Amino acid sequence: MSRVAREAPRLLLGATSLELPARTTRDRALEVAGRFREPESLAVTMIKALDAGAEGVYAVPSSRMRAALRELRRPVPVLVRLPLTPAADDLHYEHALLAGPPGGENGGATLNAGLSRLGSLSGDLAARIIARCDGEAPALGARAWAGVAFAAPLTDLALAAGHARAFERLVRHGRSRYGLAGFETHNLVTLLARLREWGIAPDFVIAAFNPRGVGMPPDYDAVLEAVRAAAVPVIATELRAGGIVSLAEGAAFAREHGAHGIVPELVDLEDVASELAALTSAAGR
Amino acid sequence: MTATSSHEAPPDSDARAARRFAVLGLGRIGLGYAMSIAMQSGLSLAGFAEPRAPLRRFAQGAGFRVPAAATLPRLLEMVEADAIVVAAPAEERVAAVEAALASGRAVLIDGLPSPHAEGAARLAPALVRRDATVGCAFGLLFHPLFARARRLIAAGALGPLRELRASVNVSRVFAPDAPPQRGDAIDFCLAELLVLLDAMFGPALAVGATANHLFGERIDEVHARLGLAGGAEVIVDASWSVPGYPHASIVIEVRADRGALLVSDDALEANLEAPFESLPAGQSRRVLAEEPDPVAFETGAPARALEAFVPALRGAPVPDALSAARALRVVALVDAVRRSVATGGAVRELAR
Repeated sequence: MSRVAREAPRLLLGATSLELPARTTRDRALEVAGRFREPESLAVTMIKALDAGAEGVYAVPSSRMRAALRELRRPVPVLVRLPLTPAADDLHYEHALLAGPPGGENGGATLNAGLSRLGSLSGDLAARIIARCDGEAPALGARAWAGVAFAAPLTDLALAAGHARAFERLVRHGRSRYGLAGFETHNLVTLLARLREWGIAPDFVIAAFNPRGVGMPPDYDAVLEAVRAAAVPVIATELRAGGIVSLAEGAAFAREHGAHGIVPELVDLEDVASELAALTSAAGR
Repeated sequence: MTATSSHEAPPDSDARAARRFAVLGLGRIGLGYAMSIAMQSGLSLAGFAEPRAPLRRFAQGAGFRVPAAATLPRLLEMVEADAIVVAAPAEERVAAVEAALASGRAVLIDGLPSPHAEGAARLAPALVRRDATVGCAFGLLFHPLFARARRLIAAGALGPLRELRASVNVSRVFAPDAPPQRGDAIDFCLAELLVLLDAMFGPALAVGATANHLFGERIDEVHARLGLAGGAEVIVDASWSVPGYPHASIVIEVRADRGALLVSDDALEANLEAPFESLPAGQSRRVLAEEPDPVAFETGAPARALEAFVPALRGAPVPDALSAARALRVVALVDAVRRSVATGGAVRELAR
């Protein structure tokens, strides 16, 4: 296993929309999910993305991604979003970290699941998250890591609870395992403010950033200011603002307003190779 | 003793003292409320009540430095609280709501106050007392597209309603990670749709329903016809066993004398005779991302419900979106659906 990244990526192909809710129409989400049902389709698309200038893929440890990575001889650096937060978590009363590690097609091997259960006996949030991540990530079968992004539902829980130590611990652990460690969030302004206050500097944060303010609480202006002043590299997602602006417009906006990197998602792309190549070219790379 | 979360105090300490929330039930949803309370300016988290020790430990391990107790009365001996959020599981809901109401505090209940009519009958007098500050929260009523659709219908922009259809589909029976352990399609997805339909079209006066059991003894699909005042009827379909719906898809279609409306969780399409709000006359379409949906700290439905409820702590009326009377009506409607299903679809009348 290699850890390839030394600085936060500038351009990643986003594949999380194959498994997680994406701000797009249901028809579009289904169409894209159908297009990549076969692992070969996803594998070829990832290689095209790398050839077009993407530094890796932003993905969750799903069976679909695992199968696609297996198809390839060439290593695809994965910025892995951990832990997995499947939609069916809503069947449980308990928080997902207490409900036991995901099993079935998206789950890790038995040994990893066992380790995850052991880790979850600890009361501390960071220990639980690390145990879950260490149970899930190996099952992805990635041969190169671009880093780890701790999933927004966990980031935002620790953020709301003011758990600075959890952030410190996750950054240390993430760097040691995956090279780079960052946090996905739905609350970028609050996260950046708290990280500054606590003196914690992850390698990146990843959040919605687009010209319409979609998914950007508390409001567009506050997020714009926070990104402009951010000491931590911000990687922008939701570039198309739920489909109401073009990818080129969303990417240009993010770069012009201080985003370090961008993640166009599969649901945002029609022709992965040409659109990513255009984004690479627009960045002067 | 009053404990607070670790976040900065608002400048007005009296305001802070007036808005201390205890959370009863520390599942996923209860934690969502705790996050929102901790991050909303002017609110503080007083403590947690949850009978399961591992869940209390989890919340404290997550970083919430507030007292926690097994029961609400025990917690209220330890801390001061002005309001209580009830997010207990269905089987504990009635007792939890009773305890919260008995405390005399303002109460925000996540979801229906009771999973059955008997419980609702027990709770009803206290829930709708004129001097009680009580709300029942349902995420669908804060969804911006459905909120716009409600305003459009309430304003009479479509004229008299003729054909109404509603559906909710979600894939859970097939969930590879966690097949359902409890409940059925009525609990999981139909009940909240019925709350939304009550809010959009008014109370149902009669219902006939049939159901399919596809994968065992639990109800997996429901087909119902709701009779409304004035003779209109809503045809409703609900399923938690349709593949391809990791997230619930809700669709409501309205044909009316002066237009038509198709609203779903991701788009609103209208055909109007006259403009309404930012919708022009004629055909128009808006997607979710085009609708304003401001929130201070994103935690999903709890953030929006809490923001709607807080003004009631200062004497404002509890907003219609949190109506406890509606929640009680829907408990009765759900009960009628179950009775109709059990009798092969026989129509059940509902009390007006």
